[in-house]
Order: sequence, then C-alpha cells, then structure tokens
Amino acid sequence: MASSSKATELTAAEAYELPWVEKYRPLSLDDVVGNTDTIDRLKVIAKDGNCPHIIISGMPGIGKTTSIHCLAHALLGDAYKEGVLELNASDERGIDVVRNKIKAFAQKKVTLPPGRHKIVILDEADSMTGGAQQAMRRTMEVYSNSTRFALACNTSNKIIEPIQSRCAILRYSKLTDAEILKRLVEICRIEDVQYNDEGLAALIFTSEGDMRQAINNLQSTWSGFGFVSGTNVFKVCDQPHPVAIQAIIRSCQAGNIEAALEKLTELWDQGYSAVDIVTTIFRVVKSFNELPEYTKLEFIKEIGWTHMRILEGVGTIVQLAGLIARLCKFNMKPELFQL
Amino acid sequence: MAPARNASRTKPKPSTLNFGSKSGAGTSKTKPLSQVSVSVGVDKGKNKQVASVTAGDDRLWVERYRPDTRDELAVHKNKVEEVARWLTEAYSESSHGKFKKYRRILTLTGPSGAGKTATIRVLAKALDIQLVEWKNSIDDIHGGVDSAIGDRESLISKFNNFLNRASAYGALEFTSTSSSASSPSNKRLILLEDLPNILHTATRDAFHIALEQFVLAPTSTSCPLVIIVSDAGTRGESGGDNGASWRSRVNDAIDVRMVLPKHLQNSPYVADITFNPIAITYLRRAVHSLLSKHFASLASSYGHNRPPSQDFVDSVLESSNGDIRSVLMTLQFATVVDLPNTRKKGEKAKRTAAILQSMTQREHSLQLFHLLGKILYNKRYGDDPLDEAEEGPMPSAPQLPNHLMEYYRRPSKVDPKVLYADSPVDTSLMTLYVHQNYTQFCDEIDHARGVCEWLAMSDLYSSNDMPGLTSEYAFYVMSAGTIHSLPSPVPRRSQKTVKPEWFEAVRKTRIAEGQVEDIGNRLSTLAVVHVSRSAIGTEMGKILQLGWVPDLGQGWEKEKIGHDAFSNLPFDPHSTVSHQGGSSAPNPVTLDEDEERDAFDTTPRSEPAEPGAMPMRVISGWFREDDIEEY
Repeated sequence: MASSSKATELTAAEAYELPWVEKYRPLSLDDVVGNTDTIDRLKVIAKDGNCPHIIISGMPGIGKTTSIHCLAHALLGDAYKEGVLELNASDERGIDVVRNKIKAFAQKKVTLPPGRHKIVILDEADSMTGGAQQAMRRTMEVYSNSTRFALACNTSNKIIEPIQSRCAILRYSKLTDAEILKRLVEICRIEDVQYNDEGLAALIFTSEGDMRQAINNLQSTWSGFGFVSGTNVFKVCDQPHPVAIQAIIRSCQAGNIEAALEKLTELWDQGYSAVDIVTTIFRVVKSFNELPEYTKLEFIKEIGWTHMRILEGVGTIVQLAGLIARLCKFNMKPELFQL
Repeated sequence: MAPARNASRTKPKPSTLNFGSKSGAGTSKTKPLSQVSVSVGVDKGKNKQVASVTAGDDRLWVERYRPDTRDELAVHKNKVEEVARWLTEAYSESSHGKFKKYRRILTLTGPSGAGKTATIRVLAKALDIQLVEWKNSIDDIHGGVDSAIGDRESLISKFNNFLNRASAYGALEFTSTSSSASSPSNKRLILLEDLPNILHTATRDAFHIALEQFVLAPTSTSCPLVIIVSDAGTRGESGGDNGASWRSRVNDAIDVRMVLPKHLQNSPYVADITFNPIAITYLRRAVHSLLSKHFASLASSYGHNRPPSQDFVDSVLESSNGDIRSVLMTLQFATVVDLPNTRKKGEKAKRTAAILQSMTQREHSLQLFHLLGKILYNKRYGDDPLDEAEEGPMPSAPQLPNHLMEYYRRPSKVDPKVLYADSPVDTSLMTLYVHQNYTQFCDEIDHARGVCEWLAMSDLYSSNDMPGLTSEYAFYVMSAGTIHSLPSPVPRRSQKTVKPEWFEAVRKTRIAEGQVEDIGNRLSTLAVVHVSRSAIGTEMGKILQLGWVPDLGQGWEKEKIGHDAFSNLPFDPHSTVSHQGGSSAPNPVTLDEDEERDAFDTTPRSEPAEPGAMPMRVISGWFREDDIEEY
C-alpha cells in the first residue's frame, strides 16, 4: 500500500500550494490504497502488458480514476502522451465524438513496445448516452489489436450490456476507515500537520469512505485553523457537530422534546441550513449504536421524509422541529396522547 | 471510528524539515515513474518470462481463440443449422431456389456474447462465402471532428452507395471491404454490424429507405444482407427510477424494430433468428478446451502458470448469464496472476471468493445474489444456540419502550450500511430483486405485509426529482425494513432466489406493443375507421385469432401480422422465471432446461399458423402467387 517516498519529492516548499489531493495522488499502482486483490492483478498487467478492456466501478473517491492513470503510466511510460486518449464527462462525448475522435485515435499509429496498446480512458462512463455507447462497441472490437479501453463509472448497470460483455468488470469496494486513516496520518506526517485523534475521527466521519474528500477536508482545516481538531473539522466542512446531533437524538429517545428543540434551535441559530442538519442527523442515526433496530428504522424513515421535503424547497426550521417532534412521540407512551 | 493512534498531539513543528531538494515539479514528476517500473521488475523476476511469451501474441483471448469450425462453436446445433439453412437457400439455384428471392435480409438478434457474429463468420467460411462488411468510416478528408466543411459525403449517403455498389457491381473492390476468405469467391454476403446512427431520426429514415431499395434489387446481381443486433436492454430497463424516465430511456435502446423499416418487419424478405444465451454445458465445454489449449502452450515453455481451478471456472460460468465473451474476458484477467491454488486449503476458498467478489462480472452476478441472500436469510444472533461458541455472545442491544415491545428482534448480523456500500447495482434494481423473492422467506401473511409496506415506503423515496440524493434512504429502508419484517429465524426450505420476472414482462410488453402498433398501422392504411390502440389490444384479439387479416390488395395480400403476444394471454398463476441462479443454491440452473429452451422457445416472427407442417420451423412466409409448396 501507500509508501510515501515518491510523494515526498514533490513536497519541496512551494510558493503556492497544490491541492493535496493532486500532490499526494498516487503515481504508481503500489501506492493505491485498498482493493488489494484487484490491484495486484493490475500490477501484473502493468508489467506484462496486454491489458484487456476494463470497467472499474465503485463509489466516488476510492481510486478508480487514479488506478487507471497509474496503469496507463506504467504501461506506456514516456509514450503516455501519444498513447492515451482521455475523455471525461466534461468533454463532449456524443455519438460524433465517439465516431470521430475515438475512432481516429484508434486508427492512429503509435510505435509502442510489444504487448503495449494505446489506451482510451473514459472517466464517468455511466454518463455517456446509450447511443454513444452503442457507437463505441464496434470500435472496441475492431481495434482491439491496437487500442484498449479503460472505463470508470459509479454503477456498472448504466453501461450497456454489449460493452459490459466486452470488458473485464472490476468492482472497487469502499475503503475502510483504517485505510483512510493510514493515508491521512502519512500526509499529516509529511506535511507536518498538527492534529489530535478527534480531528482524524471527524475527517473520517465527514468523508464517508471518500478519500478525496478526506484529504481535501484535511487540507482546508489545516490551512484554515492550523490545527486539526474535531471542532475545527466540522467548522470547515460546515457541518453541525455530530456530538450535538447525538445529544438531540438522545433527548428524542427519552421523549424530552424541550431539550431536543432547544439544541436544534441552537444549531439553527449558528446558521446551519436545513439540509446540513438533516444530512448530519441521518449520518449520525445510521451508525448510532444506542438505538434499537426498530427505532432506527422508524427514525430513518422519518428523516428521509423530512429530507425529501427539504429538497423540495421547504428548508425551514418548522420542518426540522416537526421531525424532532415525531421522533420524540415515537418513544412516548401512546396513552399520553389519548384524550 | 476512533483512530488507532493514541498520540493525542504530534510533536511540535520542527524548525526545518526539507523533503528533497527544491527540484522543479516537472522533473520530479517523471522520476518516480521510472523508479517504479524498475523496482517492480526486480521484485518479481519470475514473471518476466511471461512478458516474453505474451508479447508473441498479445491479442485478447476473445480474438485469439475465435472459433474456426462449426464444431468449435458453442452455439446450439439447431441454431447454427437454422442460419446455415438460410444461407444455403439464399445461394441455392436448385429446386428450392424459389426461396432465393426471399432470402434477402437476415437479422440475428440476441443478448451479447451469444455467438451471433461468430456463427456467421464460421458459416461464411464453411460455405465459401465472402463477407463484405460495412464499417462506419470517419471522415476521410479531415479526420478531425470540428472541421465541418460543406461538400463532404454524409455517412448515410456513403452507406447508401455502399449498399448499391455491393448489390450492383459485385466485382469491384470497395474501400470498406474486408474479405475474410483468402481466395475471393463469387458468393458474397453483406454484413452489417456497425449500424449508422439510427437513433437520429433523419439518419434512420434514410437508412430505412436504403434497406427497402436493397430488398427490391434483383437477386441475380445482388447478394443477401445480414444484420446483427444485440439486445442492449439493461440500460433502459434497470428497474425504472420512475415511469417517465423509463419511457425515455427505452428509446435509447436499439432493437430490431428500430433497425428495420416498418413494413419490412413482417415481410417475407426479412427473417429473424434469435440467439439465446449459451447453455452452460456448451459454455463449459468451450471454455475447458480453450483453457487446456492456452495453458498447454504456456506450459511447454515453463511450468509456472497453472490453469484456474474447476471451482473458479464454474463460478465464473454460472454468473456469466451465458455470455461467452464476458467469461473469456473475466478469465483472462483472473489468470494474470496465479490463482491461489498453492495456499492452504481453508484460505483458498476464501481467497477465491474474494477475487470473484472484486471482479463482479455482470449485474446479475454472484455479488448481487450474495447481498440478496444476506437480506433474505435475515441472520440474527441467537438463531442457533450451537453457533454461540463461534460467534461469541449476543451483543447487548438497547431496549425498546414497553409499548413497542412487539417490534423487538434479536440483534441482526446484517448491517444495511455495509450492504449499501457493497451493492453493485442501484437501489431500484436491488429492490426489484427483493420484491421478486421475498415471499418464499415469509411464514405468515403478516411477514409479507411488513416487507411489502417497507418496499413501498422505499419506493416513495425515489419518487422525487432527485432520486440520487435520497437513494441511500431508499436502500436503508428497503433492506432494514425487509430484515425487520421477515421471520426470525427464516425457515430453510431450499429457497431459490431468481431474477425478477419484471424483465421478461417488459420484454413481452414491448413485443405486444409493437404488434398492436403494426395492426394499427395496417388498419389505418385501409382507411377504415380509426381504431384506438386499446381497442385493438382488448377487443380485436379474437378476430385476429380466427385468421382475419386486413386485406390490402396487391403485394401485401396475405402477409401475416403477428398478434400472438397480446391476443392470447392465458392465465398462468405459476409462471416463474427459472433461469437465474441463487447464492444459496450453488447450481440452480439445470442444463436440460436450458437446452430445451434453446431448441423450442423462440417463436418465429411471422409464422404463427400451420402447426406441424414443417419438419423444422420455416423462417418466414411467402406470397401466395409464388406457388411455393410446403414440403
């Protein structure tokens, strides 16, 4: 996994600072975190060549694009520039582009060592239209002698069947907290960041398995406050502190609506938006061990409803207070409500 | 969530800490790369030989082991025979030569990887037919995308010319010709696989006109045409986020109905042969012969790469849905590294499973059924007192208040959060699978009611404008709600989890809708009263079954229109889709069933009548005045 020796060379003090996500983006497959089984295979392919068409699918921020880049660099080395065509969702990728640009690239002659092929990288491939994907499938087949495709996407079922059929499909699983933590600690060490444990825990909580977000938040907290503590992280991420939310939930469970509403008002007065608050409530509740299974299920159902209303435009404190009230009522004796 | 490190505060900032010299970013960027390639090479030197071997032949397995003879094809014999028959008839000059006139267009449809292209190529070779293949060319003049200058030939007019030339002047060499036979034969066959962009209406119309002209060209100077269309359904049918988007997505998919002009679809000039997913017996045979060939060629030079274990191949095959190309891709990728044969036994199974999991092949794959099993088997602590020794004591759970005690459940071993992260498909598709299968796991009507209620609730979360933002709620409520409502422990009665019938239903709906539309068109050409779609669908079925055909006069006279998909719908309370395996039952796909399906399932497009008249099914009809006798 991550050995940071290569990244170290980049850390020469610079006048302006690169985003750490870029600065510490792994350059070789050895540095990519997690999913060892799949990456081991990619490493061998990187060495031996003859890369099949691949689709890598998985959540954001778990290294899909990074691994494809690493693979392409390892395979092509100096020829990367001529040998790789990269298109992502921001590029135009309609049928025309597929038909002309990709095909022209596939027909292009590039001198490569044996076992090496040109690579077409299609990032966020699930956002391509069905027609564009259709237009691509023959190209994949006809030019497979000289060109291989590497696709990254969030869910593979947005890729049409004929393309799935032509690719080896690799699924990246979510990074574990430990894997993210390890990387964060490394970066902290190299960048000489001051932190405490709550700070790192908060980073992991807010990132939800997304390495990119974790590193971004780390950098923002560090450059904003000069110290990575739990409170600072939540301030930077502009999210209510989960401890405050936990207190609300505990009050709800005890049926103490006054206390719960008081804490809610406090958060509201601090300027958090309804979406922020409801999102954090959801995150807290789904991993809150003090709730019995059924309570959790009913709570999440209610939170979901409120979230939907807020998304539809009614981001008011009334909605949140209503949510709190319903949560409180759930645990109170029904007799109390009888007239 | 607590970090492993317990140093609550790191060392104070050191005064100077220079990492590397102040080398420019440009040079240092390339440096690590070269380092890497060197260090890796040294690391595992034994694999170096592989490079030299694979370098000799770096094609994909799919290309390298393309079948050459009919025996090597993994397709069902009858299917190959059908195609071969069509081809022979198309070129025959003998007594059956009357058919020749109608053997103009053959469409091969079916899921991808079912061997459509391979069959045509093999047969063409065997029958000594030269394949002339159309490829969408990029712009010859500029090659670029942005430089659209006035007088260039549009793609569709190129296509038109291609068809005309291929029909009229057989001897010419075309720019887009790829002759598969080394010695040019005078029998030619046009192969259309790379279709022009028929999603674009104007292009589609032009394409249709081209096909119509082609059909009418005299056979003496022309040659038959084969169109290969693979089903690309899933994208449009992935569970349907909601009605509206489903409709619009369906139009994305290309199917036969779109490729062919309307009145060619049922005409005798067009025949359609549908390929089924390859039956697993054929698949296994083909894969094994391929693997032994592959590894024999490797082993002769050195003995390090071992073929993958039987179990591994089997599980890949099972999850492949009969898609041979996908199997080969997966296997090629998997065997890059030695599979864990040499490791200790207990570990081996685990590792194999892990590898498989990380390479989930298709959507309807092991992973999905694995998750489904996790939800539906609803394992909880204390299900079996004997297990307690292994899994440790039941974790203490917080209590529910008294009035809710009926909802108490023993702590679950399944965490919906983890399931959400592991799910290879989107929430609506997962919900569809649960919905298809949950009843087998319920004991009482109350259990089923509970699951239903939660599924309905989960569906509501996807009903807003931004289903993406609330899909996690939908998933949580779906999985946790199901888990909570199912009995505990779930009774074991060898349940089989299956693929949702929904897909089959949608397929049938589309066929039926198409037929209704055809008949509607026919009626409106007759210029009788306008008959609404619903009237055709609900009231005309009986009339059509009696054999009444709207009489158009002239050439269309007795051409039959299919109506079986909506005119005759027997009630079948036990219809289940039986072709997908489950995670719990390791080998649910019985082979016979599959082969049977392969042989008898497909109903001919335009030949519903005359039962039992043919020894094998006749692909399409003919006009009455042609005086062709049934044989």
